[in-house]
Amino acid sequence: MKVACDADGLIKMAKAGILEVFAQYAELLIGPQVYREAVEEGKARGYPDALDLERILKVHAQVPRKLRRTLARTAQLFADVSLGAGEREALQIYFTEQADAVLSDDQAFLSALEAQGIPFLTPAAVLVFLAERKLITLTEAYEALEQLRPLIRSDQYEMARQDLNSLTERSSR
Amino acid sequence: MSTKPYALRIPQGLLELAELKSKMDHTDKATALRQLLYAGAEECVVELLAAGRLTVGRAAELLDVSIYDVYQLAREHGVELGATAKQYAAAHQTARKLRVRG
Repeated sequence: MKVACDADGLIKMAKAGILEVFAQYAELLIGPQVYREAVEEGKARGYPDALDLERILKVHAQVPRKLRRTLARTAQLFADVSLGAGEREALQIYFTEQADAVLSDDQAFLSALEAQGIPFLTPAAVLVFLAERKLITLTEAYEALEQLRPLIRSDQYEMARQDLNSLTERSSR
Repeated sequence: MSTKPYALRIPQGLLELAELKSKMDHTDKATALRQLLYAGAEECVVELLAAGRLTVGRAAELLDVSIYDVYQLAREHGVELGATAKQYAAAHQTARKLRVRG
């Protein structure tokens, strides 16, 4: 599976401690602008999470060789939405690399993707998915969700927690 | 961040407030006015983010800060950011359809 990532999705996946695991099962596509936002700008302002992310991305991320010019198409599709450069780049990569989904946790960006029928993943959905496929243990999944909690909306947290609880019940039967 | 001149009629009270602030901060009145404007801009950005009408990346660009700073700003304002429960459910469905490699 190919996943085009924005900085928001990457930062939260790394914070939850599931980015490295997910990268073993998915091809993470990251453009230079997204890398700048997630790693370089974070490091420049002294955020330690940016250092962790840099270490992970050095090993696991793939930068598409050619970012073909699909900006006109992207601009047309998302004319009404105020996207940042990184989000536009993630979209560009989604189209040019024919990725399976976009990884982000940004409400406005996801609404725009939803309106265009573009599939997307959120970090919380990824961690539940990893637990469902037994790629991480349930204990690891709960821990990851707690790490993610301060960065996500309460309603998303509650729903992901319910899904993990259901999984726990099923696995104990 | 680059700046541009912009003609604007400013209420007398705000000018007096800028004057007071400039004295307190040992700066000039124009700088004090920009700081007041920036504080208002931060509030506005947080409101738009909370309403899901602005992306985090664009917010960082508009305020000339990093995405990490935008998270911090939202926390300071007690605002939660991120996908809604409905978006999470859609993402979960997408994840279930994907084939993992390896």
